[in-house]
Amino acid sequence: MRDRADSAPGSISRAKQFIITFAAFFVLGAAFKVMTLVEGLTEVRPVNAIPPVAGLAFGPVGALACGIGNVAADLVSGFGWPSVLGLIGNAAAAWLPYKLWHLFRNEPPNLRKISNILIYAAISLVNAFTTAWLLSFGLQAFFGTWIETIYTYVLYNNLGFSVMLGMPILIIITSDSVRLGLEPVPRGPLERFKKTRRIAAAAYTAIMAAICACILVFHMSPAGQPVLWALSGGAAIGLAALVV
Amino acid sequence: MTRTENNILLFSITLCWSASYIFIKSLPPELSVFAYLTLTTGIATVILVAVFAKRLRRMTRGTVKTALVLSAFLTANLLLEKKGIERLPSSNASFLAALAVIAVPLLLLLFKRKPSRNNAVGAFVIVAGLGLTNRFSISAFMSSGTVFMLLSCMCTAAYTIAADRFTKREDPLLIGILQMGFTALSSFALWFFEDSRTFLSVDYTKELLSSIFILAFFSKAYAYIVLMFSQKYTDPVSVTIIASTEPVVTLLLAVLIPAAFGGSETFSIFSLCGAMVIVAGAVIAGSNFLGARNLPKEGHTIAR
Repeated sequence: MRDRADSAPGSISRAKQFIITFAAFFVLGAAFKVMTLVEGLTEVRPVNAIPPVAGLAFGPVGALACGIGNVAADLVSGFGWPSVLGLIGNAAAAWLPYKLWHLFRNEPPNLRKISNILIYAAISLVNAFTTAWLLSFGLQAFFGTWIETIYTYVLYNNLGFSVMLGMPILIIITSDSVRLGLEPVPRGPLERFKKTRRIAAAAYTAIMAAICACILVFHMSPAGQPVLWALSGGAAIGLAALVV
Repeated sequence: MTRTENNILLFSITLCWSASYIFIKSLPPELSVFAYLTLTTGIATVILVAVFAKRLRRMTRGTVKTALVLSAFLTANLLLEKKGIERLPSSNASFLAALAVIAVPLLLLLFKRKPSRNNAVGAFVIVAGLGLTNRFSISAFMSSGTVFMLLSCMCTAAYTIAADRFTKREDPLLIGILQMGFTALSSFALWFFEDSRTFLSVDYTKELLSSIFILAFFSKAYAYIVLMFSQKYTDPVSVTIIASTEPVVTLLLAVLIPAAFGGSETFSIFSLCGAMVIVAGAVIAGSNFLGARNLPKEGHTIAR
């Protein structure tokens, strides 16, 4: 494996990428543990600004660092099995933007054009849908607990902080003064099927929006609504098509 | 860096400063202003030195001088503001502090830099909006506090103009780090004069440490570095105009943030109207329909 992520000026080793992301995630995550929203499960989390930026900048290394950083921050307030869901949710919150950006843009992540800002905002929305769904439905599937506010808080935390704080951070790291070497375009056998994957992304977003509407507008719970599980099955297939 | 990118950066600073009131409210009332500043700027300096350690090697005598000047403005501003707030109702003090939006273009006239018509009109509309939001008492202005607050406002304006000049010729990151360090030292000195026990006089609870850390990270380390960084790419009037939207952001946060964390969902019709006038002022000031001055188009690089 190459040690340097990119040959561009400002590129840093993968070990450094991991340490920077992990440290930022751990410190911010632990500091905000006092602002609890749902005891033992979630709090006000500006740290949610980090995953999309870390994913866009460092790709898989950023995703891994976010997942593990979240587990480390959870250790401060008390580790529980739901923390495993946090690991998956936060790693996905970094990995998905990386894949989506390169699916829709043929340039390194940057916010220099209005269209890029809109793409970033749309990616943040899909990302927030995904994390909220993974965590709340995961709690229901594996722990038999459904808390509607978990979905709501995770959604708002991810969307709000990704846009309000994530955007400025991305602007700084892609500016001429910093010029951080970004992770190159993902490569793999499925990357060729861009058109199909773009359709999958649109379908996935529609399913996620439907799940969101079911929960926020109609206050449906997956416990008594097979339709939500059916939608979730479709979402899982769509997510797999996007992230594999 | 494009104008849009720069505006996003400046707006994020306004957001950080607006949100900081939630954490400031949770600080114990017995914690002095100097203790608060020493702790927040001290931690911010440590964070910045740790993150940008390599960059410090590029430090020159010029950078140290500029950082010292900026830090002196900041400290003077702090002292004058403290005196002003002690002698005035908070709404009057906050209105006078926001007059920087007028003070910056006025001071710039000394350097023969005329603001555009839109800037000038927008600034006055913003002041009207601030007046509506704060609903100050005119009779309360008849106090020495007004003089202190006006001097503090001039310090803010001088700081913005000096930062604008310095960041265009020196490394903004280095200026930001050094300025933070000098401010930490000067506030520590003031804290020492106030209470010689300094660090030993504070009761360090988990909540206090958490709030101090969050403030150090967002309202000091992040905000000042980004401010220095974006001042390199913009003009001082734009900086103050975006900063003047703070009451609008505060109003939005008060609605969005749960009351348990310091948010309050009640706000008057005056503050709502004031916020709308401020936004209108910011739009007027940020556009160019009254004058012939050509601004760079969206998406174009404004500086390197």
